[in-house]
Amino acid sequence: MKSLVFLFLSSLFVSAEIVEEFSRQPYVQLATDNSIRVVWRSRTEMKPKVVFGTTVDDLSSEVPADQILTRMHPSLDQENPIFKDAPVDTRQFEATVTGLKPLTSYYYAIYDGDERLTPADSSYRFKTNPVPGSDTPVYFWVVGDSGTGGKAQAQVHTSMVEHTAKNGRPIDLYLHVGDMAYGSGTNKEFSDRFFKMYEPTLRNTVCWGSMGNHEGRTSKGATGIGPFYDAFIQPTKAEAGGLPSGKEAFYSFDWGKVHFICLDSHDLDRRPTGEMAQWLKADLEKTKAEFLITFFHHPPYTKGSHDSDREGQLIEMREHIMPILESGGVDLVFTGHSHIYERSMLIDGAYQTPSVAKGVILDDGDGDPAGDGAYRKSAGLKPNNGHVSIVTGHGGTGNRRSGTHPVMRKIILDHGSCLITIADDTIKGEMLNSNGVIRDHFEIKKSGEVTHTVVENPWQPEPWRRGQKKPATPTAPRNATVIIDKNETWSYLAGSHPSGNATDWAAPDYDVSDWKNGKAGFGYGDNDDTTEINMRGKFTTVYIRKEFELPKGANLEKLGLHVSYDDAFIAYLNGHEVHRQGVDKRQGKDADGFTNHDANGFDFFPLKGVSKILKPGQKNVLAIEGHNVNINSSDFTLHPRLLLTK
Amino acid sequence: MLRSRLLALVLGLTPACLPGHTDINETIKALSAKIEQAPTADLFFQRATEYRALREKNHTLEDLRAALKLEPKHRASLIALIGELEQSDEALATAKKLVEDAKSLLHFHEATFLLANVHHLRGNFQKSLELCQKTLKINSAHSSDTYLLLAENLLKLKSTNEAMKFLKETWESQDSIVFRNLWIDTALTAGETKEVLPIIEEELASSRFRSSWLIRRARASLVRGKKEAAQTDLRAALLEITPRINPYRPDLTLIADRGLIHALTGNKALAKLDLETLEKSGYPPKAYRLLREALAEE
Repeated sequence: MKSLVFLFLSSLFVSAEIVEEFSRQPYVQLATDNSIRVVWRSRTEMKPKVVFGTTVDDLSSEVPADQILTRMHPSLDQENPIFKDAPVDTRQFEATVTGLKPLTSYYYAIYDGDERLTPADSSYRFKTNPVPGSDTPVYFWVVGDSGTGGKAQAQVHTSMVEHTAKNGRPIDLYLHVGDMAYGSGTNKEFSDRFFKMYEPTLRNTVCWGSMGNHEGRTSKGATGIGPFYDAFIQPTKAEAGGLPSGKEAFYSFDWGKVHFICLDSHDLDRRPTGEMAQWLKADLEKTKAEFLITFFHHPPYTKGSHDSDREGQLIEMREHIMPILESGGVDLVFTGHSHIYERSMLIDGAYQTPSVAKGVILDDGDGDPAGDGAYRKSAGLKPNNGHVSIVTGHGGTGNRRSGTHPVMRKIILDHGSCLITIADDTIKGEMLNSNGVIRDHFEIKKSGEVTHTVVENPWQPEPWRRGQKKPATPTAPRNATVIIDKNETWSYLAGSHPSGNATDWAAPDYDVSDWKNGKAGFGYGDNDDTTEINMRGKFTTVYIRKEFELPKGANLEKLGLHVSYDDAFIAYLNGHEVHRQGVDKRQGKDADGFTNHDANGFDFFPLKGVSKILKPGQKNVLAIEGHNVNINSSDFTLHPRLLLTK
Repeated sequence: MLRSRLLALVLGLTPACLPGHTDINETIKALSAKIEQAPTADLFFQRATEYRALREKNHTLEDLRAALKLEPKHRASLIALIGELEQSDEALATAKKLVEDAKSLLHFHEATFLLANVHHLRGNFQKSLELCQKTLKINSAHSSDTYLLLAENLLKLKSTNEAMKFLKETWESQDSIVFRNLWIDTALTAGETKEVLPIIEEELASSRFRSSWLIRRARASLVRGKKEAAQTDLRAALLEITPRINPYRPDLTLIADRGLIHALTGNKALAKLDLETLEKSGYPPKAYRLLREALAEE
């Protein structure tokens, strides 16, 4: 096991090299329990050969030549052409590797005749699926609306790679919910904004794709023609489980005891008389899986950069497709299109327009075992037993919020992606942001027989005013001197208010010997806290203070607070208030008028006019009171740094 | 099916310069500003697609017509207009014009399908059938919409045996399970059970939810005069389907199935109630054709 982990870790950090001979680097597609496709492109003629084996240094099996399909530009290939927007000399090779054992790792290499093109490198590998129905845990990554080719997209990918490396557990598969190649899903955009961006993940992990509206500008679901359908090789004949759809635009596949369904919400008939809905109903009747995951592009529930109460494709997916999915027992629905992360409560029957919370929420908790507890469902696929809907359109392009959807439990404007584990009887979902922080965590436990009743007055998310935007906060200047760093030890008081007048506790000589000591950050509920404080449902305020010294000759007007916070705080230097954020009135136990704020990294606040307060060469005290807007809020964070800028 | 083909055609023609990272209202605002400065057919068409997403039909039509005023042969606008106008005379005339103006075999194929669909919507099933056959002769690949429309025309023309044969051939050539199931349903309507019964039995043995297959086996039993066997299957189907139906917000495909069970068991009143629910919901009548036929037979 250790050697496998080592192989995984080493492959991540040494193998992102690009092989020049390829115009599109090798990647894997359409895995089953006994076969897989290896695909690559070249701009030169080639005698393609693929060898493989179960150890990296013994690739003794070879894919027969008649199992390698070569596709070319339509001017050169009438039978199986690639889309016309590719350069005329492009060749796409698709090798079908067969006769494989289930749930087994293989390594592969690509040759041109006798010349080996891919290096002897463990990152060129693939793993077959387990036998359908078998009890094998699955760990998968879900990304949406990422295809800008920009920094945020790269960070979201790197964040996943580092997170999985740290945990020693590579992902088994990858779902993309569409818009992976802005602006029009052309051949070049696919190469630059999808394939290059997700190296080396794509060479060893199958990405199952759902077409977004941007890819839909050049590819057509009805015909299966276009750059999207060149890039992805999807099942049409139930090659990987499920029922044959005859189209790459919608399909299903099995992975152990999980059934995955991909739909085309963009350019196919979404009505119940349409071919897609008829296939879906038949496929749901057939499957005997224990878990059901569906993914497509247009979200049935969102108030992000799109509004599911106003837009036709989104309304139709909700009104026509969701009833079929829920009567089929769906557990999770992943979508994108709306550039935001929104995760619902456990819901059922939310089909009406406009969406309302009344009558459709089966569990209004946060689904977090450390919070309100995991959602519960019956074992197997029980109809109308509730599902969680996730909009994961925050994979790389600009995030945006336009309102508050009433079925949502978590609404987060932050770049990121989702990591899902299904093991034993539990689905565990995490939203990992681009900085490697888990911003949301929920679980669905499926066992026994669970009967839900609708929650009469469900919890509702904080309202959002149209036009409300997060105030811009400057980032910390580079080359700042750190006076108090992250994760340093502070004195803190939680669960009561300090004695004395409102700000006495912030003064340098205040006695805090009976306060506790703990490392920053302080808080709960969002997995970014070093000192966990069990304050939910109990209290809303935490007081922290720390002594510090200033270096000689420091410019005292260049001091700044660099802080991660949720939701609000007031900062004091030597007993004097120097900054308040998200607190309108008063302080301490009388503080009022809070503004909701998610801890999304660190924000920088210069502290002006503090030179007269500070004492160079002596003991100084930074004291901060942190406030939560609501006693039942799902999280709290207070993690400060003190910086001296140049 | 027209909708999917239209969507595919129109979206395929959508210019790549459409803004992608703003919401629809902002996109409309930006397009309106551009139209005010220098109107073009492309800009009107782009704004029409945004209005269509918002289901604002009047605005959509206005912009499509404005595009065609500037550029009478603007193909994307012509296609979109046919979709919006459905079975109207204007849709028919526009579809004919699109066929006449087709500059390539692909365009001709697409336009002929659209014309076939307009004829179908207008009740000209024979004409629609002939046009479907024509388009399949031009290109039989990637044409499941045409196959579905052709089968629908045959059923409307009461050519059930021909429809059955056609659907079986289509299932064998197109791989989609939808054609197999339509073939089975049509075969049962035609009174044929020999070929389809083994498939029904196989599905009953391997499916999680069996109600659809129990209904099909019941229909086969009725064809073969085995009324008691049919009633047994229909009772089992009702037992399975009932807990799958959310009483407040049902999956209407299951209401169609339940209605058919009621109709076949002779519970005409309950079958009519389900039919009314489907009709009131605006559900496409094609989705409950078998229920209507069963009630008509009664």
